Amino acid sequence: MERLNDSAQWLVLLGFLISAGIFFLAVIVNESIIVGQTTAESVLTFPKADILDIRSEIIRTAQNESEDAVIDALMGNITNMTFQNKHALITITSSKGITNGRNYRNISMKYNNGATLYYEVIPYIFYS
Amino acid sequence: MVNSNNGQLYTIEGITASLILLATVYFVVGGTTVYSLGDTHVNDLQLEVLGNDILLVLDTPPVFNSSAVSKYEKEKTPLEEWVQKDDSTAFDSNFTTLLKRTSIASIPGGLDQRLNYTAIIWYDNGTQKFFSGVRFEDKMKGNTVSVSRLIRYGATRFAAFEVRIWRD
Repeated sequence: MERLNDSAQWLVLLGFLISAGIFFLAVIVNESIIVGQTTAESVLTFPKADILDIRSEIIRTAQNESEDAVIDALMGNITNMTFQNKHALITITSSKGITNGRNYRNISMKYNNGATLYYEVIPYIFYS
Repeated sequence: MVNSNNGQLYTIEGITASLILLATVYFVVGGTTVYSLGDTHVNDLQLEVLGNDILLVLDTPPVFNSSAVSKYEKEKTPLEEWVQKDDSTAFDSNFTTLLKRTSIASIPGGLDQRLNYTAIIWYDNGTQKFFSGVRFEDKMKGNTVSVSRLIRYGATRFAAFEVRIWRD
């Protein structure tokens, strides 16, 4: 095919280019099977219900209890139950303050279940 | 092959054609991967979302009981009351209604009897207590989904309320 004159050389070259284009489209079709599964899987495995549950219990506890010892015991209890049942490690730290004569706590929670890491600071939980 | 110019493009064309053929065979064979509903855990997710939603509904206080003594008692949720009073019948009727209710008119009572559950309470000293539903030693099947929720029990303790749901 390779000759010293120029006959049909463009034809051959464009043939190669078109086959490269078809190759690229085949790669896209092949990867489309996996891409939908892995994207949906990462959304499905996010522990939304667990995190919302722990967060709501922390806020309820901080709002309803005023003694530090009780708060520490309850937060320790939440940590243990989460580790035992939901197989996740959480760390809860709290600090107190007063503003305009009202007591409040700032509570930070850190959640890690091995696949998801969640950190939130919940400020100004007022209690009386 | 290199000293003269004869047949070099012929050779290259042959190599390129063989590469294209190999790639085509690879894509044809690899493209037959099929993901079924079981692989993607669609039914498991459906049960898990349903269980989480039911526990959320039952663990929300419906009224603010301003006549109660402590602040914790003022916001007590139905689930916490049933656990404290050990009232598994009330829990069973409420949970069953929410779990099995279906919109298919031809099922008498409107409850889909193929869904079953087991409710277990896990205490903070590591012990557990069967609370309601079908005893799990007897009937639990594969593809069982477990959902759990923290509930306050007593004034100073937390327990985990776990429900395992499966389809018969």
